[in-house]
This record gives sequence, C-alpha cells and structure tokens, in this order.
Amino acid sequence: MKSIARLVAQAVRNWELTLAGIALLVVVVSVSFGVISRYVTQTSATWATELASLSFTWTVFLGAAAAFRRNLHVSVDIIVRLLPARWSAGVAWAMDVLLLVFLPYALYLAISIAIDSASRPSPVLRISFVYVYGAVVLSFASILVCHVLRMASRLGHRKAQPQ
Amino acid sequence: MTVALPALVMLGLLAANMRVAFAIAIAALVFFLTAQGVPLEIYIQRMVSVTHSFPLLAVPFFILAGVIMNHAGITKRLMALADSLVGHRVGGLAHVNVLLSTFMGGMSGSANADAAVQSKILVPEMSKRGYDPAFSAAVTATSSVIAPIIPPGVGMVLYGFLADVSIGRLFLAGLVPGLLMCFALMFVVAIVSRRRGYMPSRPTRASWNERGRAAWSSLWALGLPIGIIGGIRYGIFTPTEAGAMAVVYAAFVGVVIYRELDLRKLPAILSEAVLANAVVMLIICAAQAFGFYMSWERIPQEAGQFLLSLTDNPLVLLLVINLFLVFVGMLVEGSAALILLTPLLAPLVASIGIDPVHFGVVMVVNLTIAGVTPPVGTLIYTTCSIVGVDIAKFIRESLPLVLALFVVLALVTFVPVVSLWLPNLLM
Repeated sequence: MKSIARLVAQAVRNWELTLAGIALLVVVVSVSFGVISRYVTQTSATWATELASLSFTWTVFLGAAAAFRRNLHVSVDIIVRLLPARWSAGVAWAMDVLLLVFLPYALYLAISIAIDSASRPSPVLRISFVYVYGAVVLSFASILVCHVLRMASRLGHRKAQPQ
Repeated sequence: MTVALPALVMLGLLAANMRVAFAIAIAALVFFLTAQGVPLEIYIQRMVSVTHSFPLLAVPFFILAGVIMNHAGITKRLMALADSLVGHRVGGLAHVNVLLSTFMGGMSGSANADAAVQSKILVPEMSKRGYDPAFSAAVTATSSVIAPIIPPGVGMVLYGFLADVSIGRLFLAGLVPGLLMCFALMFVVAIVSRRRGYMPSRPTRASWNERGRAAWSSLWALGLPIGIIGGIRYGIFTPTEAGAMAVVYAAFVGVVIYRELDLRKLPAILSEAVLANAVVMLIICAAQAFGFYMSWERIPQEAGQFLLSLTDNPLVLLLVINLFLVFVGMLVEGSAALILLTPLLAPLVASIGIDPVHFGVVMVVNLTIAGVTPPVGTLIYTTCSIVGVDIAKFIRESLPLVLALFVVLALVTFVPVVSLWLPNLLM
C-alpha cells in the first residue's frame, strides 16, 4: 500500500513525464489497433490515426518539458568552453535572459492560438483543438517555471557567496 | 541583411551554447516578427503540425521497441549468440562487442541507447579480462554507430520524412553499409588485439550445436528486423505501423516468451523512451517553424545554385558535402545536424541526379559517425561517463576505429550500389 502511495506521489511530482508516458501508450495502442482493425473489419479506423496524432503532440511537448527539467536538451558548448571563464559566464547569463524573454512570449502565442482554435473540432473525433494546443501551453509554462526557478537559485547562490 | 538575419541569429545562438531546439525556435520567431505579410499564428501552428505527421510516429516507436527489448533480457541472449560465433578469436570480447551492436541494430534505432547498454554490461567484463578500458569504451562507442544504420533506424525515419523519400527503401539500403561497418571494425579490433595479446573469451570454438541453440533462443530478436522489412515490402503495414507492431512484439516477447518484463518496469521504460523521443522531436518542431522561413526566402534553392556554380560534378559535390558534414558533426549533435541540413541538401543533390536513397544513407552514416568524432560527440560522452575513462585517452584509442568507419563512409559515398543494391533488388 505504502509503495503504491509512493508511486503515485512520484507520478504527480513528475506530472509532465507521467502524462507524456500515458500519451505515448495511447499512441502505441491506437496505431496498433488501427493495423489490426484494418485486417479484421477491412476498413481503416481513421479515428485511431487521429487519436494517435493528438496524443503524440502531448508526448512530444510534455516530454520536452520533462527533458528540460532534467537538462537533457542538447547544445553546442565547444565555443563557450574556449572563452575565458568570465566571458563564458556572461554568455550563459545572456542566454538565460534571452530564454526568459522568449518563453513568456511563446507561451502567450500558444495561449492565444489555443483560445482561437477552441471552437475548431478535429475532423473525425470532434475533439476541440484546445486539447492540442493545450499541450504546448502546459509545456511552455512548465519550462518557464523551471527556468525561472533555476535562474533564481543560481542568483541566490551567487549572493550567498561574498565576492 | 534581413533575409539572412534569422539564419545568423540561429548560428550565433548555437555558438553561444543555447539549447539547439530553442536556438532554432528563437531564430524562427525572429523571422515571423520581422517578415512582412507572414501571420504570426503560423509560428506555433508549424511547430505543432509536425507532431501530427503519421510517418514521424515511427521515431518514438523504434525508440520504445529498443528500450523494451533491453529491459526484456534480449541483450544477454544476443550476447551469448555473439560469443558463440566470435568469442574464440583473439580479442574475443571486443569482437563480441562489435557483433552485439550489429545484432542490436535490428531492434534498437538509436546509437546512444546501444552505447549505454554495452558500456554497462560488456565493458566491465572486458576490463576484468585485461582490456584497456579506453579501448573497450572506444570499441563500444564506435560499434554502436552500426545500430541505427541496420534497419530500423531513427535517422532513416527522420531523413525519409524530411526529404520525402521511402522509409522502407532507406531501411533496406542501410543493411549492407551496416554490415560493412561491422566487418571494418572487426578488422581493426583483430589487429589491435593481436598486437596487445587480448585473450579469447572462450577457450575453443563453439560447436555448431551450441551456436544453433544460441541462435534459437535469440530468434525472437533476430526475427524482428526481417518482420519489419518484410511487412513494409509486402505492403502489410507502413513503416510507422511496423514501429507500433515492433513495440507490441517486443512487449510480447518480454512478457510471454522470456518472462522478464512486468508492469513494474513500465514507468522506467516509458520514461526512457519519452525523454529520448522528446529531445529529438522538439528540435524537429522548431526546425519546422524555421523551415517556413527557409522556403519563404527560397534558401535551399539559393544555396543550391551557389554550390552548383562551384561544381556540378556529382562525385566532387558528394565529397564536398561529406567533408562539410564531418566538420559540422564535430561540433553539432548528429540528429540535430540531420534535421537542419536535410531540407537544404536533399533537393540539391536530387537536382544533379544523385539517388535520394543513396544520399540519405550517406548523410545518416556520416552524421551517426559524428557521435564519435571529437570534440563534440554524444557517444563519446555517454561511454566515457559510464565507463569512467579520460576523454583524451578514449580519443587516442578510437582513432583507428573511427578511421575504419570513414573508409566505409567513403565506400558508401562513391559506390552507390553498396546501398542501392538491396532496395533495388527487393522493392
């Protein structure tokens, strides 16, 4: 019982990864179902294809947020490593600030497109596109929060160490 | 100036260590904000629309199938098979290492996963038997380059999607080059092992009986690539559907046949696949928004005309492109480079009559080798951090092995029949 509670707590704490994982399962099941049903009923299950596509958006964008939390996104560090320490620290701060400007703007764009497309349903399942762009909104919001917290903790760390 | 601005922003941000996906996304946004007559909504739409493309679903499927197979205990069975085949040779475990990557290539579509698994299970064994850890790490990293070339491979799916080329043909085209890489690496391994006196991993050659038994218990794994290719070839399913079937098949083998999978492993398996998939896919999403800028400004055409004004000899062009890709691959992670450069290069080479499938294999092989070319190589980092060897030592040990891979690349580049023979024969 205790272990289940711990598992649930862990799943909630890593909510991006949990949702992305569930979405990936849905993608696998619906595409497989599509193949099998095509051979059994001789008609292709268009709804399964559509469900797979919708879920894939969630897998990708929430997975990207989870990867951001774990610092897994690749970058090219070879040039900044050649710079003197002070310069490379300056470049790192500049990039952090740029991301701090970009993320809220991208989030704003995602929210506005989500609202605009709310009345637009998907062709087969009639699911509102809010549920498509919603994944992007959640993803960018999560990345933004993570980025702000990371910057704040680094700032606090620097203040704690007197020059 | 304004035409080049987004491209310059992207290069600047990449150089400044911005995460690749965000460097591309920000550069694309610069275009949408500065260009006239381009609605801003398209920016997010382009990023999301790529996740609705059915062919790209094959990416997470082949990643997931590989992860499941690894958790399902298939690796040790394949290792037993490899050992029964080549373990009696001088440098037995190093040969096993190369052969295992080749076998695993039939299930796993990613080199990184392969390098990580073998660093954990094979390298400690090699160290125990007196192999230099730097050499073991170098063999592990260079041989894992084979895995995505042997079908199925994520790189082939990405190229096929971006260049609009048959993924089934690309899969088939990778088989011979993958096997050639296996032989080339084994050749180097044999020379180094003989000179250093690395022992065989088994005293005598395995009997055919033992080999047969090992092959029988690995049959479930070895059958997968044949099933995938056969299924695509005979139109039973599309490459994407083949990926989903591979996942179901891997789960079936793990749960029912080998009985090593249970529900408790599910979160770890899903997490691993979700993260690996998201890192690649987010770059694709950003690149799709950036691609709008490229086609709006007709950049592939302009760049193509510029290159063609220098030379229109296909062989010279292939050589120049290969050198360029090797250089890029030294600095940028391979799949990121593949995503960025395929839309630029594929139309160009097609215009001078180079087969797009042939070029796809050249590009994927080149940019997979990028994982082991210093200074930036994900496979170098993966193996060195798991094995715990110094990167400089690794690089010294890996040089002859990397050279062998480049020889195969040259062969694949200048002898198209190496890659095209099998797809032309079967599809």
